[in-house]
Amino acid sequence: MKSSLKINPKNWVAKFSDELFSFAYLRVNDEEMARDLIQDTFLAALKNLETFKGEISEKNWLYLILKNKIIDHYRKNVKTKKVRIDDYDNEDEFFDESGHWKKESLPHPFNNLLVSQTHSFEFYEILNKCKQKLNQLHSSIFSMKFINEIGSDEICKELEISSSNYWVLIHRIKLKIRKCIEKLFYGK
Amino acid sequence: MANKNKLMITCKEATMLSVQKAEIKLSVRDRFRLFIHLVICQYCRLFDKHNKIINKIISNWKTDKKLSDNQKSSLQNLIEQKLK
Repeated sequence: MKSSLKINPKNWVAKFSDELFSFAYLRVNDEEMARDLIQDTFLAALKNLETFKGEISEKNWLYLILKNKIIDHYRKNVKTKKVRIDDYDNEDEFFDESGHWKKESLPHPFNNLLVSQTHSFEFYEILNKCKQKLNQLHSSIFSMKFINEIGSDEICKELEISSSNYWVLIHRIKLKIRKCIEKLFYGK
Repeated sequence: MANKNKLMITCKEATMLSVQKAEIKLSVRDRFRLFIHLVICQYCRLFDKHNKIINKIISNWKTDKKLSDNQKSSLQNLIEQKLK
């Protein structure tokens, strides 16, 4: 029982629960779901105490378990909604037929005020609102790619889409998020 | 994505390359075509700049949401129960 020296489940809540909770909350955007994931993580860790070999820290080990729980959560979520072709084949709101910006979608400069606030909590609220405005598919992909940093290969596999469809989706998500930030920040 | 033989690409193609370059290494040809496009197109230049800012923000995403004391103590109880 070497591992018992390095691991102490009685300290988990006090030492790690806030950090793990905010990590999960950002990724699932639902307090109740985030709490459930933390609880599942602790329970899974308790069940597998003997697999903890002390090769990584107790904290990283818990993070690893939590990350897997979050990915499972997305899998379940995404499986229920197959990508429909019109999700990426509908009318282009950003570019005209010749591939130029449509007038109403032209980017405007972000002023220094916005750039200086990119670390503030308010800015993340805006980002969160913009994420919520995405459709379910876009929002899942946004979370998988940008927050959970799941690789494109795995996303394509999970969603059963080709790599070129993947890029069309990522392209569109980025265009939408950028436009939404501009709109919410300036009320344009 | 972009048509392989053209030097000049459209805004749609340029913004796609701008998004792709955060994740994959673009070919020399695509990097050059993007560069040329950004030199002449102020809107795609803005998009490219904003895209970088947004990527940076996302990678620092934080929240101040915390568990309540009640929630913590019920988690603590659960763990201690399982340890028995």
